[in-house]
Amino acid sequence: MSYLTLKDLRKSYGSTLVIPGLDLSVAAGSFVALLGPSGSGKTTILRCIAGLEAPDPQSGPVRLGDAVLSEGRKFLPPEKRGIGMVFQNYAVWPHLSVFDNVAFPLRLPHAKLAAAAVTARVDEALSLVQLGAYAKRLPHELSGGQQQRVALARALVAKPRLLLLDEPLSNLDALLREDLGAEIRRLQKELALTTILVTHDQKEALALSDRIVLLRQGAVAADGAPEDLYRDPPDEFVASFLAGGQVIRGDGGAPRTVLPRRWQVAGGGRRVRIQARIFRGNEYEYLAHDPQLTEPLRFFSAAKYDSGDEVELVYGA
Amino acid sequence: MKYALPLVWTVALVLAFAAPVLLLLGQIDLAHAQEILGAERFPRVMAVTGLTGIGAALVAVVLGFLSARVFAFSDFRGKRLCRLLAILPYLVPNFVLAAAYVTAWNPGTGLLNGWLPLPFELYGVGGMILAFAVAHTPVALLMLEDKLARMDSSLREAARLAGASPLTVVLKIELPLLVPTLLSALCLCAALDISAFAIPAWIGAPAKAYPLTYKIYQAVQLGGTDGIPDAGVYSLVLLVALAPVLALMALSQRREKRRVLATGKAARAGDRRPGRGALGLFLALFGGYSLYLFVAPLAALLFTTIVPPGCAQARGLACLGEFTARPYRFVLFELAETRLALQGSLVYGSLSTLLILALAVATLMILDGRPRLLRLAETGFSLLMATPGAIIALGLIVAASGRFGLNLYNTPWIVVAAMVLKHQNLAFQPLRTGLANVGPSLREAARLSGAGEATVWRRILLPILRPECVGGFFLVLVPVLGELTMSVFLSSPSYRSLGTLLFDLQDYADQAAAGALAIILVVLILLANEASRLLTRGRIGY
Repeated sequence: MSYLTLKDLRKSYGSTLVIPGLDLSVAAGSFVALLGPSGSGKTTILRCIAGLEAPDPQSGPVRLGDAVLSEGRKFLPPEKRGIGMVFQNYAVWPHLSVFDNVAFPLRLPHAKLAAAAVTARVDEALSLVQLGAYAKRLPHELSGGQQQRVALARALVAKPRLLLLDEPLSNLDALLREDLGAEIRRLQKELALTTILVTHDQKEALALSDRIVLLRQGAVAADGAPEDLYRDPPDEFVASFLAGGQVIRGDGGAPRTVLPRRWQVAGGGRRVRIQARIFRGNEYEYLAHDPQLTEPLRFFSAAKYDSGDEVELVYGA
Repeated sequence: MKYALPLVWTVALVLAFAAPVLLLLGQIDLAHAQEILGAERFPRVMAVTGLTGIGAALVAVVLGFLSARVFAFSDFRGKRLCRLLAILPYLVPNFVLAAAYVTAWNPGTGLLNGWLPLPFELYGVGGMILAFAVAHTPVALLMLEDKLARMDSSLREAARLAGASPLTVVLKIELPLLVPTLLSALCLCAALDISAFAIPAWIGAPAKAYPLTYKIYQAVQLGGTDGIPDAGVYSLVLLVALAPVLALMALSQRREKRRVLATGKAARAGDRRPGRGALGLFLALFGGYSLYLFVAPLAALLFTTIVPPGCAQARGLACLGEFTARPYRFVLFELAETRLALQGSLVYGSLSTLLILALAVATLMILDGRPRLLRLAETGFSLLMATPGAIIALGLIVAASGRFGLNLYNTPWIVVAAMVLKHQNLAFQPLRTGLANVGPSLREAARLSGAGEATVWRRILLPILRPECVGGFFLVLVPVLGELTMSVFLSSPSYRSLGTLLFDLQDYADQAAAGALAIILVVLILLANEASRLLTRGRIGY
């Protein structure tokens, strides 16, 4: 049962049509990643859902549950959509304490909450993101990861109908990224909150989401479960973007896409000569010359080979 | 309403802000204009205006560049104090500097004529160029220092590594990169010189070296309201003379924006410690310059206020034993006009400043999200800021003397209106820049939290912009306190300012009282600057 639906979404900036007509349905409680390279339109789609951009008048409806968020010239302003959003640059208001930042949505006149109820809700939200001890601090006294947790608590405190995450982890270092990513996923599951994540990081999309919508030039290039798209990419673009696939040409037949991680060093395979070795921590990445191919072949192995060594590779073992 | 209000607001602003100048120009009779322009003395007026404007601007830019390099590129003990000393001539009103020069170097009784003489006669074109250059070097310094500090140090380092000497780096890298800013600074200094009134009145007029602004003043002084058509002709000539300067400045500023000097990661420019020799040489030259052309004349002015009248001229330093605070007592407690002048400068000055600030905030709120209308308002405000105060004052006399249904003449409100027109840009610019620096996601997060546009302004944007508002208040108050040109034209029995009182005291040859008033004004301005620095944690102020 779809909860959020976008029908024929169109968005132009001046004469440039960025989203030429996109259909998308998101089931209630699911975690969907909008993945794509820069300029693929993923943030524009997210902002159209949030109401921070108005779709073109020719656009079809954007619906959330029973409500129509926008359709043609009809447009519900962002403050009336009941959507929570976490921004890439945190957007934590610098003049307000952590507590006041999170309490902001609850103190607006239409929230009609007593001070005690506000305090209880803010405390609850802050403990959800493990920041209970930081309520009195100002944003500049927090690390980037903590500021992003504040933003997450603020997005969650008003119990939104939909959570939008606009590259929320990209400003954080690698370790924090993993920690906060796991926490976001835990909270999403715990609250059964329909969530859309925009990211250009394949690993993030694969690790966090139930479903990946891969975008290319404002259109859906692939849509499916992370495992399915990774293991069985429908085309060259999906393979290369999502799984680091490589197109090999000159093999006698038509060009085909292979996943470098599926090559294994084993006897009886195609013979290649190592050209370059790159240390990748727990393994090495190799570029190897195959006389039948026009470009060097990429593969990974834990074993260490030197330039000039010859090995045999088997695919899909 | 959503579309009508910004449009109505912009139309109202354009009408209110453009009407006075247009109505003044409407007074001009072409035949009369030809008569004035054909007069024998007119070419000399133009020569004095051009020579002093461009000559002083050139000197100011050269001195500004040299000191800007030191302040932007190096760090040394006492740097803040040195920088404050370099910027002080800008904070001190022109008429105080002019009064100090007259006290120090007037040909008859100048206190420094014996010890530290000027190599030429103070009164006349040379003295005006000197005073303008000293007054406006800080303007060039501030503009160039900001640009140099933001210049990616790797641009210079790459040249040094390629084998260029420090001088070659300055000539081949820094100066070419700074051409738009140098031009911009040159034009701004020239525009300030050409529009100024105090220095011509104090230093030019005694030698009959009259630039256009002084001719406007003379026309009104000699002819009263009948002199306004004459003044209108001089105003038109002044605007025409300023037009190419302002056009070149706008062009340079556009080029400046396009020339990105900071890219990627680089060491901060101001972290370097200069060598002892270089620092010593700079401090000797800078100290000598400041002492000779700024500190000594101001000290001479101060000296005349703490010794009995005439004693300083007659007995020099020997008078120090006869310390007196009489001029201060006289100015503060005995002179009846002081109360009116303090009320004019402080009460109406603060009121004008608050109005300016409120108008800037309202304009930003109403035109928010409408970039074309905002640009139009911004252009109008900056044009008026560049318009000489004399023209704005005369325009208001024409527009608000009852002929068009509004009569503010002979009331303090006409001065308030003049201040709002002239200084609106000073509050608008920092607020607009501050608003542009507030990341859009801060507003978007508030909107998604359920706040309407008005709430976003009240709860998020205005609190974030508080430092700009507080700083903007002082940024406007300082020139309002030091204003003379418009006040001279608009003062009335119900309004005087500290500037006009000082002008009159100087005219009536009460040097000691004039000096005491000048010193009080300088202290007030320095206090305002310090308050601004404290309240904005150093973000606004010098």
